[in-house]
Amino acid sequence: MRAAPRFVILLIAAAVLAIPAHADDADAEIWHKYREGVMDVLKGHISAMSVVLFEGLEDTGHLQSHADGLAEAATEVGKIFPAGSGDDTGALPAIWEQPDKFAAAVTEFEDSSRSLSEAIASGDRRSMAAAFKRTGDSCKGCHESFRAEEY
Amino acid sequence: MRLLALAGVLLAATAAAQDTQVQRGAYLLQAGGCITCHTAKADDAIPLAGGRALESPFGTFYAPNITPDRDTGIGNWTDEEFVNAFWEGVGPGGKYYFPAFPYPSYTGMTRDDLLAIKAYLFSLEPVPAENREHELPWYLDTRLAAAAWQSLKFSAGRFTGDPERNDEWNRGAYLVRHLGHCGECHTPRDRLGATISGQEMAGVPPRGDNKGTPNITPHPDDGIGKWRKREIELFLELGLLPDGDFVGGSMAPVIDDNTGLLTPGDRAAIATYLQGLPALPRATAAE
Repeated sequence: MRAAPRFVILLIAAAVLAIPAHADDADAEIWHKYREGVMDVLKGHISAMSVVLFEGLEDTGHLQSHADGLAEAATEVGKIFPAGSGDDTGALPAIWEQPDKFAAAVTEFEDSSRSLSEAIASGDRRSMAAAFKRTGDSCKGCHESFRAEEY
Repeated sequence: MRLLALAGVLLAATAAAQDTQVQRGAYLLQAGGCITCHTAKADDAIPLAGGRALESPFGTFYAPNITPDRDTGIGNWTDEEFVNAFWEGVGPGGKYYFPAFPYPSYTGMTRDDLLAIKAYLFSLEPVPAENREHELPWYLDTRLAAAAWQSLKFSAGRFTGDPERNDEWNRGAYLVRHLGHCGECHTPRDRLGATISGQEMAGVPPRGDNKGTPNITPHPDDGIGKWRKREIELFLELGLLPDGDFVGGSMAPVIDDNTGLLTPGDRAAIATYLQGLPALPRATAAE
């Protein structure tokens, strides 16, 4: 059997070496798309709730639907930044460099979203506004420490 | 006896006026954004004892201790010295300030407001904390450079208001242009670091690692022209953007320490003023 030409061997070696890197890129792209989808869901619930809470839209059950949806979606946030998933969506390296601080921020978001859902169930407007602010503060605090702003 | 009673009433009235002045000063200190810059970033930092690093194209400035400590803070400052620092950009002993201290904006403030802030600061516990030297290139590392900058780029003057506009607009103008000094971050600067007057609030273009700041004029595409007044108020109160996102970055502490603590009336005034600005496209480069 004739030995394979050297350039063919080099070509195969290069292809084998390239596979993992390419696979990582593909994974990161998928994570970015999913991450942005989760964040869009959160923003949608928040924006819809703010219209009812602060801009006068009559509440015929809107608030509870969105608060429950937010509390449910909030449990995703701790799962969408696996190590190696890249920072193209503005995720700062601090997420992976300070895992305890990031985990605490995620827990506060989960807790505050749950409290918001409970406050809306209570029907007390003052509690609702306070709980909305707490949830917003958790979003803002996390973005301040862990997200690169567009500006 | 009657004289003694009168003296007692006068003393009580003076004490009440001082209390009111201190309370007003506490509010104005928040509206002036003093806490954000004059408090170090560490979680356990002592408020107003200095230390926040302000990075600029000209070097890194460290905000000083403004507690009433006599050795390291402002405990020895007279009323005139305090007012002069804000109105003229010159501290006790003729020390010219670099415009990292935003006196080009504060120069428009009223004497009453400044003295209320001083009264509040002097009601606080003195904190001994040495000031950190600025990190500047050799040619700026002298107060003569600050004096030269002032002679070229600074004009002192109080806010006089616009009688053609209503009270809300005028209050907003005072808050945005002077006390809140929004233009220090949102108005582009020329090559000598002075804000460009015809570009008020048009945003700062990115430069190197610095991503710049957004245009907050009512331009429909580049600015906040599509925001309703209520949306601007909610942003100032909570950091909530119209699409449901929450702001982060360097604006987050401004919401926490400043605009989120204002009265609804003051936030409405800021929104009115911003919506009345000329709609400018986003600035692209330093002139």
